[in-house]
Amino acid sequence: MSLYPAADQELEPQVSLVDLLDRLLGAGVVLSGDIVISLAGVDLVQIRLHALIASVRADMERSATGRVGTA
Amino acid sequence: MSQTGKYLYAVIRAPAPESLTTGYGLRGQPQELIEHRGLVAIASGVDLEEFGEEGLRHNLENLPWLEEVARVHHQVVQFVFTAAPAAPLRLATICLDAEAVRARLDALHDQIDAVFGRISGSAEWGVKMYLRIPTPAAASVQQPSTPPAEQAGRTGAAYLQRKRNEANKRRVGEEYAEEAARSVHTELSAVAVASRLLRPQDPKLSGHPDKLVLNAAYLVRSDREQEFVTRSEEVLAGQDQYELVRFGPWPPYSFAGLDDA
Repeated sequence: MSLYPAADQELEPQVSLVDLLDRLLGAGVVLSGDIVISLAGVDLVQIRLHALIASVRADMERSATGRVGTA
Repeated sequence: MSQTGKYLYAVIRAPAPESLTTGYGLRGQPQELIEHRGLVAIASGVDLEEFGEEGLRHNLENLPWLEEVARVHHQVVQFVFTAAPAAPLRLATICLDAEAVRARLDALHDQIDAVFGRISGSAEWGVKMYLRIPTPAAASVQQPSTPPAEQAGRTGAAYLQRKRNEANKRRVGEEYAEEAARSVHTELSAVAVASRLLRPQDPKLSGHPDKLVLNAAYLVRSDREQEFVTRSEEVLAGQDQYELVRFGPWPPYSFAGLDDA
């Protein structure tokens, strides 16, 4: 089942999570549901999340020294 | 399932197209259409153990969990969006039952006209522009100018001078890139109904090593889509130092805010 519009599919094989979260957490109709994760809470989540992703990325960095060391 | 709640994906205007009665949401639960006063909320049942306040608090920090929920949310909203103008809801909007959803629709009723007025017939396109950071190999190829004799004579001074030149060049490059990004944004905004600059992304998060100089969202009417795509492809033609990444058409996430009207 393909849920994506076909138009630009070749350019969008896998949307990056960051681009998705930029929109899903930072935009859209903000309706306070019964389960309230407050705005401040989301920010906090994002900050922690950033830290988490950063650490994941750090693990995956192929050659951090190669890139940084040549400046 | 223990106690269940309703996870909301998007709001559309009634009547809901037939196709929306068949989809599935989070955890394979069937989509539900909850109608009230001419509005329809697209929802699905979720376990409140997982999506209740307690559960969400720690699940939102669990990256694989968050990623999966975000992707399903996006898929459902995309699915709805292909069938009808849709106002997407923020991730993790959950009500306890259908009655509570109707109360939300009631409250939303008078404000959402402006949102539909803005987004109907349009889609969101994302554009990111990067300034390529030259690789060490490429950088040294660009530096053939110093004559060997001179180099031998004052290695230290030449080295410092070269470093200074490189730093200057980079600064000029980045200042110029900001200007180039502004003009790209202006060019693309001219084809869009609305545009919005998003926060810069940490390269550690995006996994992209180059310098992000533009992270923007454009609301583009469907009849100008081709024009937008063409313009985005041509706007940086011949300027290899930049990379432009475009994605869309997406549901109008960045343009569905109630207070943007």
